[in-house]
Amino acid sequence: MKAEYGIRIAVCGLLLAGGALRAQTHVIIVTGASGESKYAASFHATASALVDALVTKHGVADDDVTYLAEDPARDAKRIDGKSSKAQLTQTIAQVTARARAGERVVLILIGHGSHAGADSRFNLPGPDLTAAEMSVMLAPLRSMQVAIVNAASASGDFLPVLSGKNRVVITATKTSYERNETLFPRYFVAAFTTPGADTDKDERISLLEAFTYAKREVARAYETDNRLPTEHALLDDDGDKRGSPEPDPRAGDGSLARRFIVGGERAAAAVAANGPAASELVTRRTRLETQIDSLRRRKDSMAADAYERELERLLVELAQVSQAIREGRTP
Amino acid sequence: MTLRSGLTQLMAMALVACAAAPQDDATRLAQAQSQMRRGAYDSAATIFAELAGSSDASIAVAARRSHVRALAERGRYDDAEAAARRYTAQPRGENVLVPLGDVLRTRGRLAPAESAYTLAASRRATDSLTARLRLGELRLDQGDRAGARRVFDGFIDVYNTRGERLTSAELLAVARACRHLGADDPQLFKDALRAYDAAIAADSGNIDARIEAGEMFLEKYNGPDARQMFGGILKENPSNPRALLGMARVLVFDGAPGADSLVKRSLAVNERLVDARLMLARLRLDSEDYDDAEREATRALETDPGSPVGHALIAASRYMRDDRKGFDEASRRALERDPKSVVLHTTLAEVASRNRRYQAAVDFARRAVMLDSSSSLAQGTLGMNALRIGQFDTARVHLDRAFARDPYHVWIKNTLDLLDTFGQYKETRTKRFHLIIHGREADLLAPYLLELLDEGYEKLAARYGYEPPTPIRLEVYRSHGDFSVRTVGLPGLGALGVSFGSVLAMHSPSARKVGEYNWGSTVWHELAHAFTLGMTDHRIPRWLSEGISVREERRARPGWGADTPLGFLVAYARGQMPPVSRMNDAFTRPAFPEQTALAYYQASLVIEMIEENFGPRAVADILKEYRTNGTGPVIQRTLKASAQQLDNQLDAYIRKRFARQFAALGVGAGDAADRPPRGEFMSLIAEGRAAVARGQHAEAIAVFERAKALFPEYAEDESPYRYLAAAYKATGDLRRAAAELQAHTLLNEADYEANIELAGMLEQLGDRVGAAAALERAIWISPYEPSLHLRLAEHLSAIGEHKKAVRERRAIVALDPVDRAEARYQLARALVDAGDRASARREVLLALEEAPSFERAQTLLLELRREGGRP
Repeated sequence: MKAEYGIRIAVCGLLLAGGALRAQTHVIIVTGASGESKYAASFHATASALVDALVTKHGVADDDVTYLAEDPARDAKRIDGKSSKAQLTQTIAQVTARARAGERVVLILIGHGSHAGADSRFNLPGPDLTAAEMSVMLAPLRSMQVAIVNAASASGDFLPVLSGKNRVVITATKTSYERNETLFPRYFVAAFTTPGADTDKDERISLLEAFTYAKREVARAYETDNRLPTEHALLDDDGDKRGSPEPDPRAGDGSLARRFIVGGERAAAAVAANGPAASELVTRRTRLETQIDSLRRRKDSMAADAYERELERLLVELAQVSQAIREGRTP
Repeated sequence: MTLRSGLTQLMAMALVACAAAPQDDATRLAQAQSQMRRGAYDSAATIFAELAGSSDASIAVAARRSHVRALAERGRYDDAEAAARRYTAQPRGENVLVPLGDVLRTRGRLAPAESAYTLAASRRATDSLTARLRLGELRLDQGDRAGARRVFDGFIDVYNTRGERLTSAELLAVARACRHLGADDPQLFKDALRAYDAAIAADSGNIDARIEAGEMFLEKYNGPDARQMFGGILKENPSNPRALLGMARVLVFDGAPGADSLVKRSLAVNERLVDARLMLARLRLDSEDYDDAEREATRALETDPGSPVGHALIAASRYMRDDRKGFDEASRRALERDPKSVVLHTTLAEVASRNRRYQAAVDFARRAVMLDSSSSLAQGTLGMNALRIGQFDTARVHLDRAFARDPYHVWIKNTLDLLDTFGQYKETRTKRFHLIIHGREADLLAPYLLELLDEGYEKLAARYGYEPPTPIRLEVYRSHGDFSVRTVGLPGLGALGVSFGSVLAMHSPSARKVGEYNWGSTVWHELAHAFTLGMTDHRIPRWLSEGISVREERRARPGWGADTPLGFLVAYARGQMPPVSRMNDAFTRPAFPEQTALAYYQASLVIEMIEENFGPRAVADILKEYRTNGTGPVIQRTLKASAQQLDNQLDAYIRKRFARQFAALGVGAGDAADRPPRGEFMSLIAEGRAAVARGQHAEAIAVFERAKALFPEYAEDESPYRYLAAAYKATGDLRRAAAELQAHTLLNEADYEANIELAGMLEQLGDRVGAAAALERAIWISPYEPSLHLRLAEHLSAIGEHKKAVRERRAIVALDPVDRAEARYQLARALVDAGDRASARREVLLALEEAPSFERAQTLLLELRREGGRP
C-alpha cells in the first residue's frame, strides 16, 4: 500500500464525499521492533494476513487500512510506512482528520512490549511508545468509536491507561509481567482470515467475536503443547479501567465490543441495495432480532417449555422474513 | 636400673594398667556399639560378651544389654534368652530385664515377658519407663484396651513433667505410648512424631526411634517420608533387618519391584524375624502362591506361636484355597490373644482385595467393624473395599468414620478428597453401563465409550457364553493422581485402567501424553476383565486375566495390543521371563522394572497358544473350571497337562513362532542384561538410517524391506514401516507410502502422528474409507482436536456412514468450539442425513438460538418445518 499511499489519500477523499456507506472503519496496523529476524518474519506474516483479510473479506476499503512496519522495504506493496513513533503520530493525525464522528478507528499493535504501568511500552524502531504517550495520541479521536488491540507481550498495563468511554481496549496479557512472546496476535488475526469466529453468523466479525476466538484458540494451543499459559488476554469496553478475561455483554465488558464490527461495509451496502421495497421486512427482521435477544435474556426466569415454544415461534418467523429479504420479496 | 627405681617403675606401670583397663573397655564398648550400628552384629556380640565382665559396672551393664540385643538381631533368641537370664542374676541385673522381656515377647511368651517387665519396673531399672510401656503393650496385645490406655496415659504426665530431662530411650517410650493413644485421639499422632523427633535429636544413634518413626509413616500410608527415614538408616547400616523390611513395604506401596529381595536380605540377617516372614507370606499371597504363603507364616509361628497376624495370614491362605476347615482353625487361633482384635478380618480383607475378591473383602471388613467399630483400620478397610464394588454411600460413611479417628491417614484423606470432587462428574446411564466422566469431557467421550462398550459386551458375551452383572460402572479420570487414588489410594502409581469386576476405572485420554495411550484398547481391556472376573467368581489368576484381556484387545481392532515388544523377545531369549507356572511373579514381584509390561504380552501369547493347540473353546472352558478349582486342577482337567508340561509347551510355541525374530535380534541366554541386541535386524536399521541421512531413498527402501521381513511385528520407535513410508513418499510413490504407514498403524496402537499423516495421504489418494479409519484410530489416541472430527465427519457422510457422522458432529459440539452455531448446524445436517429429523430440528433451533441470523440454519429450519419434523 505504501507505493500508492499519497494517491489513495486523495481518492479516499473523493469517495468519502460520494457516499455515506464508505470509510466506516479505519484500521492502523503497527508491527514493532522485532529484535530477531524470525520475529520480523512472524510479525509481518501476521500483519499482512490481516491486511489482506480486511480488504478482501471484510469490506474495509484498501485506503482505510494503514500498515506501518519496522522495515517498509520488506513488502512495499502492503506496508505504508515505517513504524516509528513519528510516523504513527502522523498517521493517527491523518485518520483523525478524515474520519467523521461515529466512525470506527482500530489500532492494532503486533510486537514486543516492556516496562510497567503508565510507562509500559510498545517497542518501536527508534523511541518506544509508552501507554501514556498513546493515550495523548488518541485523545483527538474522542468523537469516534476507537479500539486499541495491543497484542504484544507485556501489554496488560496499557489497558488501564487507555480505558475510556466509547473505547474498546484489548491486551494480549493481563499485566506487564507476562513477557513471553504472545500467541494472541496469530489467533486474533485468524478470526478474520479463517472461518469459525463469526459466532452470530452475520458474516461480519465483531471485536468481541475476534477476542473470544483468539482467547479460546490461545488456550487450546497451550493445552495441546502441554504448556502452562503465559498470556491471559483482557478486554475492556465500559471504561472502568478493569479488563475482563471472559467479557459478557449482559454484565460489564463486551457490550460495545459486540457491536464494534471491523469492516462489514459490503454487507451493509448489500442490504441497502435492495432498496426501500425491503425496508418493511428489514424493520420486521430487526424487531424480531430484538425480541429474540430479549427472550434469551429472560431464559433463566422462564419455564423451559414456554421458552422453547416462544423461541421457536420467533426463530421461524425470523427465518421466513430473512428469506423474503434475500429473495427480494415484498412483505 | 636399680632395684628401688625398678620397683618404682613397676609400681607405676601397674597403676597405669589399673587406670587404663576401664578406659580400654569404654573404647571397646564404643567400638562394638559402632559395629552394631553398621550391621556387624556377630563381631559386636563377641565384644559385648567380653565386656559383660568388665570391672566397670556401668560398662558391664551396657555391654550385657547390648549383647542380648545383638544376639536377638541375628535371631539367636535361645542364646539371647540364656545370656539375659545369666545377666539378670548378676549385680545390677534389673537393667537387663527389659531386653529379656523383649526376647520373650518376640517368641510369644507373654506371661514370662510380663514378669520380666514388671520386675524391671518395680526394681527401678534404668529403663523402667520402657518396662512400663511394654506392660501397656502386653495388655493391648491381649485385648485389654482400657488397661493399656491407662498405662499409656501416664506417659503424657511423664513427658509434661520431665520432658527435657528424658533420655532418648525414654522419649522413644513416650513416642510409642502416644502412637498407641492416637487410636483414640488422633492429635496424639502428632505428639508421637514430635517425641520420635526429640528421641532422634537426643541421640542420633537411636536407630529404634528412626525405624519406628518410619513405621508410623507407613501406617499412615505416607510413603515418601517412610522412604526417606528407612533410606537414611540403610545408608548407615545396609543390613538393618527392620529398615530393610520397612523399605520393602515402601516398594510395595509404590508398586515398584524389589520388595522380595529386600525381605530376603532382612532374613539373611535374622532368618527368624517374624515380621519379615509375615511380609514374605503377604508377598506370596499377592502372587497367588498360597502354599508358600502358609509355609512362610508357619515359619513365623515357629518363633512366635501366638502371632495373630501369622495365624491370620494362614487363614487367608486357606481361604484362597477354599480350605474351609483349615480356615476356621487358623481364624480361631488368630483371635486367641484378643477375641476383639480386628487384625484377622482386616488381614483377610486386604488379602481378598489384593486377590481381586472384592465382595469377600467387604464382607471381612464388615466383620472387623462389627468386632471393633472404634478401629479406624477396620472402618477404613470397609470404606475402601465398598468403594471398589461401587457401594459409594457405604464407602463414604465408613471412610468418614475412619478419617474422624485418623485424619493423618494419607490414603483415606486422598480418597475422601476425591469423593468430594464427584460433583463435577457427569453420569451417563444405559441399561448396561453407567459412565462417570468429568463434566468437561463427558459429552465428548461418552458416545464413543458407550458404542465401544456395547460392541465389546456383545462380542465377549457371545465368545464366553457369560454375561457379567450389569450395570457395569466405568469411571474415567482426568488426572493420573485421581485415578491412582481411586484405584490404590495413593497418587503416582502405575496402570492405565483397573477392573474391580463390574466397576471399572481408567484414565481419560486427557490424563496421558498423546502417543502413549489408547483409551479404546484400555476400556476394551478392562471390560474383558469384567467378564473373566465375573465368570470365575474372581478366582482367575491375574496373569491369565491380563492375558485374555490383551488377547481380546487384539481381536477388537487392528493395532490394539498388537505390537510385539522387542523388549519382550530380548528378555525372553535371555531367560528373564518366567514360565507359565510362575507368571504371576512378573505381575506381583517383577524381577526388573519392565517385566510386568512385558508379561502382559507373554500372557496373551499363552492364550493364543491355548487357542491354537486346544481349540477356540478352551479358554472359555478354563474360565468355567476356575469357579470350583485352582490353577493346577483347572489346567489338568481342561488341557490335560501338568504345569511343567504347559511351561514346556509355551516355550516351544514362542521359540517356534519367533525363531526368525530371535535370530535377527542376535540375543541369547548368556547375554548380559544391559547388553543391547546386536543382530542383523539392528544392523539393518542402522544401515537404513544412514541411507536416509545420505538421501539415498532407493537404498534405504531395500534395506528397510529386509529389516521388515526379519521382524514384521515390530512397529516401535525404529519401525521399518515408518522409514519405508517416508522413503516412498520422498520418491513420490504416495500409494506405497500410505500402504507402509497403514501397516505401521495396524501394529502400533498409539502412534497419533502416523495416523494423521496416513489420513492426509489417503485423502490425497481419494480413499475416504481408509482416511476415515485412520482418523478414527487417531481419535482413540487423542480425541481433542476438532479438525480431526471435522474431517472424519465429512468422510463418513460422503461414504454414507451417517450415524457415525452424527457421532463426530456431536464430538465437535462437545469440544465447545467458538463457532457453536456452525457446529450445531452441521450436527443438524448430519442428523437429517441419518434420518433423525426430530433431533435435527432441535439442533438447528439451538444453532439459531446462538445465532438467530444464521442464514443456512434458517433455511434448514424452514425445510424441516415444511417436512413436519416437530421435536
